[in-house]
Amino acid sequence: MKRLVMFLAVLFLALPILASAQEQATDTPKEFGVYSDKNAKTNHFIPSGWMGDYGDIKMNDQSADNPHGGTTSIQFIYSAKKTQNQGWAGVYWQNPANNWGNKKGGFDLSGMNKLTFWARGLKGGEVIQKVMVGGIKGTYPDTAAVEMGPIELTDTWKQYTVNLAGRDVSYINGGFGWATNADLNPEGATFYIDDIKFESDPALKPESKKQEALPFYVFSDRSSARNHFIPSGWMGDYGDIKYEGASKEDPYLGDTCIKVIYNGLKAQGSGWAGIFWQNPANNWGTVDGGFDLSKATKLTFWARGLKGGERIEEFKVGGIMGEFSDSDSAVIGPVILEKEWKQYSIDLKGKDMSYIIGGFCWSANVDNNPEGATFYLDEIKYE
Amino acid sequence: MRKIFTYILALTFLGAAISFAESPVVNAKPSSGELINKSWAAHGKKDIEATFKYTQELIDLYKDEADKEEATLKALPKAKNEIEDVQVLNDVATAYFIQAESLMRQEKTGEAKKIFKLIINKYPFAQAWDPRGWFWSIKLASEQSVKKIETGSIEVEQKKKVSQLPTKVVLYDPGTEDIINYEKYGEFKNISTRDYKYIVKDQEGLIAAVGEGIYPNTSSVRWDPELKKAQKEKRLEGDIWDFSHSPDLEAAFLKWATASEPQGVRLFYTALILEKSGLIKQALKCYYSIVVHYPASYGWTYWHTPWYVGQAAIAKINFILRNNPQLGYKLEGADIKIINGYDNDVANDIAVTNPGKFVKSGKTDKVTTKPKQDLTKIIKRSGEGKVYAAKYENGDWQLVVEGSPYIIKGITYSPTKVGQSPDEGTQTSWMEDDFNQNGRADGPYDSYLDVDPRKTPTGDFKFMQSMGVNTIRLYHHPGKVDKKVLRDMYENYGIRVIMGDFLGKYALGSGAAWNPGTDYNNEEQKTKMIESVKGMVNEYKNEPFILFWLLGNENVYGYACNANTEPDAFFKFANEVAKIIKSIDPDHPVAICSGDILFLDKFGKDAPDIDIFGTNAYRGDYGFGRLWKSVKEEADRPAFITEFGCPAYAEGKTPEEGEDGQAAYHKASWENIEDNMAYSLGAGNAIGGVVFEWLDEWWKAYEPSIHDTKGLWAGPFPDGFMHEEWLGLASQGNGKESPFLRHLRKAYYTYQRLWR
Repeated sequence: MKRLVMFLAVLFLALPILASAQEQATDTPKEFGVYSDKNAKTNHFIPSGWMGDYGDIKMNDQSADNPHGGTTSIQFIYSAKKTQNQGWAGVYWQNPANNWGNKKGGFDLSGMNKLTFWARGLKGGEVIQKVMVGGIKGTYPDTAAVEMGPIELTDTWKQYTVNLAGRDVSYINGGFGWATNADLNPEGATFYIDDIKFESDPALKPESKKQEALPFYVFSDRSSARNHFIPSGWMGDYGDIKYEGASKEDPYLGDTCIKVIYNGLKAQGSGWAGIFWQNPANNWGTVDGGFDLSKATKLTFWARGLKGGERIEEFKVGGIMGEFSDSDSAVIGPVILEKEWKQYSIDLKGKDMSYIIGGFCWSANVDNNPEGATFYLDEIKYE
Repeated sequence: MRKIFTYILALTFLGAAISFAESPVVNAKPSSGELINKSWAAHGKKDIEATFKYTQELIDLYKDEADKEEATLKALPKAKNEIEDVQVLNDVATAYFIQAESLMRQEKTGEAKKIFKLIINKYPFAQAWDPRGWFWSIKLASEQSVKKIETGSIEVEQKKKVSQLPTKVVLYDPGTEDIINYEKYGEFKNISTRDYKYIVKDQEGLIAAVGEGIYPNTSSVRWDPELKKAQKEKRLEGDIWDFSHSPDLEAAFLKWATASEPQGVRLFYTALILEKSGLIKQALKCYYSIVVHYPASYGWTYWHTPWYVGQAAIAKINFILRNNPQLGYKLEGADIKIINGYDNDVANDIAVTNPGKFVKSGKTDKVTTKPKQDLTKIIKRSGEGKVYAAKYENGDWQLVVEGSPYIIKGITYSPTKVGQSPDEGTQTSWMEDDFNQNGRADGPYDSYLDVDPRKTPTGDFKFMQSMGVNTIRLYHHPGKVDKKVLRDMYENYGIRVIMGDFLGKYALGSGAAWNPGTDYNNEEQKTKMIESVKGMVNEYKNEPFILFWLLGNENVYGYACNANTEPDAFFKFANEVAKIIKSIDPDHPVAICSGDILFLDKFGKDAPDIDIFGTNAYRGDYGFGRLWKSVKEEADRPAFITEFGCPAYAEGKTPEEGEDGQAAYHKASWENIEDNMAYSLGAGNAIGGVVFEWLDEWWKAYEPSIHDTKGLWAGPFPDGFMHEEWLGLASQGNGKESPFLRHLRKAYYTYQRLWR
């Protein structure tokens, strides 16, 4: 039934004259286009949802520079200038244009079980933090929210797939989207996307999370595609925290490290604060995400305090509880930081690390840091 | 706990008003604190004209400033200093509140409601100090008053916030060992030093051994089929603290075992729920995991004083093992000392940990390792008179009265007629109350039992004597004392008196105004306090009923005195006072009444002439933990509990179950005191305790004619809250036969068994 509705919707939009197409519904369509060429009739979504530092984005939706198929591809130039002071930017393909879930639109894509697209970077090495299918909320929310990434582009066309098997795609308004940030692309990025489409692939099975290979980084370096979790879960007195993801103050390894300034002023009246590194961002167990880190036996990280003596109550992995809970948790603490870099380790032996959305976390309080605490973290990884 | 002498409130305001009246007229702008004192005093005296004069003056002078302070706040300030930072806001909102209350009293409910609504809308973060011992939200009180106007009832709806389905914990993975052999899974390092550590070498093995929910086994609970079930049934929804006393023990266990609270706190409450569910061995393992892995962890009490979870865990383990001899184990050598742990600052804490060891208890355990009394001799003695504290060769302490050891089996006696309240200036003295006009005090001599159809006038003194009480605690001011009643109590019922002076607490005796209260560095105030104490000693020193002298009532918590910020000055002054007492009366020792063990180290250092350490302590149904040992280490003095108790009301429980909870609390408290008396295996310095209190007082939760069940503050009580009007070992029934009727609760009979 859903398929029928979807098919009717397609026909209605594409060929409004052919109103009575009921008998054709028996043929299940094999694909459904998002974008193929400028003005192609199979383009069903519009790249209208510009997000974050939208002023950093330039789009040419009829770039004739070496398209993958047809005559054009879409070129994006992301300047990473943080025009809107966000540090990140992205674009959603929506239907109708600019639909952030406030009006009915979208398509019933039941029957489709993957989205494919082609992409290349101008130079190679450009990093797209993630691509999205669905995930637009609002009054008319998408029925699925699937993310994939990060992707490090090459200078030649390459096809990428987002597995949608087992997902409810009966209402999708955000047909496709990408997002990236200035940390991953400090000098900006120019890249091309082409031939974005939903497909039906009878052989495709629902994605079971593959066991990630080790080492698996929570944070390596600010522009590293190896960073898998996002420091989005600010807790307690979040107003007391200043987070610098790319501090150049004596990183342990690489160009940058994380600097955290916790001022202990109790902005929200809690007396403590902390940050969870999550996947996807802001996932408090509400969406399916995370990684299978079953092979990991420990999480290691390097840390130092600005003065030495800063007390971190807990360093933790996992422990987020919700509809999609972490499969386990492990904690060390309290830890008194030293002025010099020191490696710490959280023992994961015997722990169930098969589903981890909260990759790393610290928390500190004002009771033990009356003057606040400034500290640095680097090379946070599962081993 | 700040209950005992709250009736002084009205008197204090009155006193303040008098002192203001006597002040020379000056044109300086009065402080908001001064005006609020005057406002309360006028309201207390029901002087409507003065009430509105002072409150309106305060509002006119300080309203703008209050508005600015309110605008700086994002949430209700919690810590005392934060609350006091917005004092002008608090005073202005209080002034409005007093106006509205006054209007209500005049039955001008429409006008009253307008002002209450103004408070609710404009000053949601203002708080006022209640001398019962806490700040209260003026907005909440206003909302209750509005409700009272609208519905005629003040009963607050208490919504069950979390699952109330009664369940018990069924473990999916109880672990492979009952008593964990920690040496097998890791290594203890630097035992009994500040560098103590347990290093896990075989985490997988330890996870398998301890089982579900116990560190480091965080996995099993997530495989527990009950978890999915409880999630599906939405039984895990709600604030974690509301689960601590929920009858849905399974949900509470799952919630706590997966909580994000600090590890020590998480494990303690997980253990508590296992214990409640009857899984004693699992609870023991869980408590002990705190000692091994997180000995220095802490939480915070309602009063924002640190709560050392590791020490509490050891106390719990000892309590469980004492009450479950069939387990056949004892915990030997376990101790966590928190260096610098006697202040409110956890940043300077250093834990010295010895995790001890579970050993099989055998027959030999009953033989004490301490020498018997007759084999020891006194090596130190405080005072030369008929009452003194004696220290024996083995280091233990006893109180000696007329040559015999004396255990303080005390109770606080303050029977208040239903309907009376010091808040409203209607409380009269129990020594003088004679409502049946038979020429003798009602409570002490005419009370009768609810089960006695003939209502035979028997009297509380008789009931207390039957219970085994030998001491009451009393302050010589600000109310009057009738010596004749006390003499009779001693001569005919064998009950002595610990006589106290507040030593500046609640600004009593110092001549200071309520705000800012007694200053222990102020020579003039000190002189007045010394005179107050001298007056007491001279008045009563020759009375046979005097057991010893008591200084203060948990002054260390502050409140109309600065002992909380100037503890050294306070204890040094108290020591001077003790010396003066002894120069007048060498026959009786001097004790201090402190607040738990706050600033205990300073007491030990600053007050060598105070003979006995007394303290108010409400630590829960498993005794007083390390308190005795700490007193021994820091002060080497005999110790007693000046206040301890538990409400007989618990939300969701039947009256019978409520009484059971109260009785169990008292039994454990007293057994813990006994375990620490001289020649016992404990610290050897306990000399007794004073139960709080004899009779329910109905005014404590504000409506003196209603037996309020309100939980006034969160604490370690059967339902997690203090119900102040239910602390009596005796109740006043439905209140209709007050002040005569007595219903003796189960705890009364518990003491009868323990004391007689």
